[in-house]
Amino acid sequence: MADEVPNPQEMINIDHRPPATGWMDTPTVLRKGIYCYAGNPKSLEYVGLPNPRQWHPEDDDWKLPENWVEIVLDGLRDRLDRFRSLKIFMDICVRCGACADKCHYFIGSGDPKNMPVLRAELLRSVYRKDYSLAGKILGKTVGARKLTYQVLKEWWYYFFQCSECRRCSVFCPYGIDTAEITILARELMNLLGLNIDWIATPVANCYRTGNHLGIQPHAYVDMLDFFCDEIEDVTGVRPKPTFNRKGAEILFITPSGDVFADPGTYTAMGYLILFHYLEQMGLDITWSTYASEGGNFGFFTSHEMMKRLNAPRPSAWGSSGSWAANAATCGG
Amino acid sequence: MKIYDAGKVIAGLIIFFVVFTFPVYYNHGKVEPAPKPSLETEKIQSLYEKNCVEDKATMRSGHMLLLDKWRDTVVRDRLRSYAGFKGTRFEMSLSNTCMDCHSNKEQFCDACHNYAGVTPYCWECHLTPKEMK
Amino acid sequence: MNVWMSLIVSLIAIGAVVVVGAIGGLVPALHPVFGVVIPYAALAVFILGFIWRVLRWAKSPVPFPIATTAGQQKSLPWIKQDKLENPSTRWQVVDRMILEIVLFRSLFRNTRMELYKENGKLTYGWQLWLWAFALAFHYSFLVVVLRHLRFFLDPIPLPVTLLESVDGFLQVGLPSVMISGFVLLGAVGYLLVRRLYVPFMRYISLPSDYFPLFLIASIAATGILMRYVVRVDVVGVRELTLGIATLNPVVPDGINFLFYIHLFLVCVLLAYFPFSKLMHLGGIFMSPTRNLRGNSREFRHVNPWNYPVKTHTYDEYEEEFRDRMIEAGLPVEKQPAESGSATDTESAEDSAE
Repeated sequence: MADEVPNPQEMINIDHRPPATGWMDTPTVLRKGIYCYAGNPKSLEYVGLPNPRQWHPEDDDWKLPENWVEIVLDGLRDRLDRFRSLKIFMDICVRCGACADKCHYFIGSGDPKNMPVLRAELLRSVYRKDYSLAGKILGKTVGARKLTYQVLKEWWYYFFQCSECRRCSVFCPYGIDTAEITILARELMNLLGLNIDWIATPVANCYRTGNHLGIQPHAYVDMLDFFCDEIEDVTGVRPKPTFNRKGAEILFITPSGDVFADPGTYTAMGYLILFHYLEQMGLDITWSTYASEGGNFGFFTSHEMMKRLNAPRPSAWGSSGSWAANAATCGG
Repeated sequence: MKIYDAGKVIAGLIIFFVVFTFPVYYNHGKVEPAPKPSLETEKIQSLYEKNCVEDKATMRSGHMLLLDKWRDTVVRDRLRSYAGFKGTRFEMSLSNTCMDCHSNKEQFCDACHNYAGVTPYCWECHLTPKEMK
Repeated sequence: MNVWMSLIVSLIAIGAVVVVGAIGGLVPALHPVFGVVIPYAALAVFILGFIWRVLRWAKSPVPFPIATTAGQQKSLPWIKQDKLENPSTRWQVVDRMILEIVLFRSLFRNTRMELYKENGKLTYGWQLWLWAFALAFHYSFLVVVLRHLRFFLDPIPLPVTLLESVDGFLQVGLPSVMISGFVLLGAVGYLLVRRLYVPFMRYISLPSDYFPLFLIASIAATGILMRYVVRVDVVGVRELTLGIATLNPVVPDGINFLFYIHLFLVCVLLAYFPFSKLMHLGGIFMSPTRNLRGNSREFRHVNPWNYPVKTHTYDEYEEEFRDRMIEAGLPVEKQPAESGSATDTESAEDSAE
């Protein structure tokens, strides 16, 4: 990974000018360092996502099922029926460009297909070809195009470059939300087994261990124990966190990153100190190793996965009979 | 076929429909008939050839253009003589030429102006000969 | 499609519309078609098409509350809520939407990004041109349309006459120059120039982005030509339009062919409307990111097509990790003796760290 990393002076040379060729005619080059690696088949198998297999984004053949076009178009039609947001966002963009320079991935990469308006057009052009009569007849004239292998690769490359932050939606006059479009495009790609490992393995970890880092219950306890050692070293007071305790008043769930890495570890130590104080005031707090992820990594995969990964939280609340407190996450 | 948020959507669509078909109920099929400007004045009836400054079609749509040109020519160039379409010379003057024949402002000028819903501000100054008396 | 092709395609389309309209105006036998039949057809397509498109959107539910929030949600009493960016009541949503629709609130916060390569600084400068000209365009269009009600209503209501006198308050020219027509043409001109001049605008624009601009510009231009240059028989025009409005059509003679071009352009706009991005008229009211309350923490929203999903239950979790949980002193539901099955399984060697 350390080969040819440019220095800051080179990296700031971002060209925001669009290329000479139209965006439909500019082939997508999957640039190393921009794309994330393909999802580990074991992670997909663990949560039952379709088409788990070894593949590499720079391969020509992504080993898709024969009828992948049908799968995607049927999936798109199904989602148009289930999500009014997608239907409206596909129809009312007027290409005013207010969103264009608002996406920090566009600002950072200079790649015009990272402009929210174009990111949505990647999907919208296929929608037009499939859904509207004018699109079927007039094709490129009305901005419609067929779903080809190249288009699918383009979708994968760009819809995994959106972090679903929704900043574009703030500036759009109608609130067209590229995050919504991205989630639904990723759902379509998940139907074919096209995801990135940066998401797929955390999802599998959340499913299995309750947190995206895959911290198993004993390790979780161990880590917090280590924090308690640190706190005792510095302050002379040792907090006594409890775990998975039924009947506690408050169930606290924090992002697992807080348990694992700086600067979150300082936040976690802060919680421990705070809870020690609150417990002396009479509040009854417990942590959970089963529901140990404040963020929902299903958000980066699909709506269904969001629901599946959320399950530990209500069930953990239910079992402990407590109020839940969910700490805000770093981004999820 | 289920419509979600049917109450709000249908209400909005009804408003839309009413707004865009509004003229139909506002008028309810009855409108004033097209105006027939009257040429029944003493002066016009006494003319040998009932001709205006320009032909009827031009006057009907372009009399404001003519008057504008007359106004500029009279006020800026101090010229008063105008050759009509039949060669006759006229004095470029609303009150003295036009209103001389068309002295029945209400039956002539106002008939069409009211129909078209315009109020030319010319009348704030230019009076008909009758009113001047 | 590059910008030249897009422009050529849209210009050819507009040219075709103008030519057809001109033919309709120059051939007296076609006057009933272009003066009555086509307007009725276009109106029908517009109204029915608009209703159909909105109902098509309404057939899909809004499963999740996804209001775009750019401010503090309603929380404890001592935390100030941003009522417009994160509305929690219906009235706050209405306020937000009124500001959005009447004052184009989201465009008001538009900025232009500039990256200084010398020192790596990224700046955002406030940029109101799009907001100003978009507002000017839409409002002048509204005023023009309202003024035209004098052709469709009898008697002409006072607000329309008042609007005309305000619009012509400069009292320049004969007849009075109405500002709205020129503002409309100017604003369309700016939007067109912006779409051609700004590089990323050129890049993202389709022929169907240039076409409505040309269409509306031609409508404004023919209207201006009719009123200030060519001069048409206004009385005859009103006869025709009132005939349409009373469902009692009449086609008087002697109306300049430019009127038929103007009328045909308007009919094309009406008929094109439901099949294009112009549907943002209806869409903005239905956009779930703007018309929902940010109250997902206050109320439980139930998804209409909610279905059960496969989850990893606590029992399954404990089944896998029971031994280690017991070693770590965690409480467990079942003791190893009760669980019955072998405890050491494949889980120990997994890739998860």
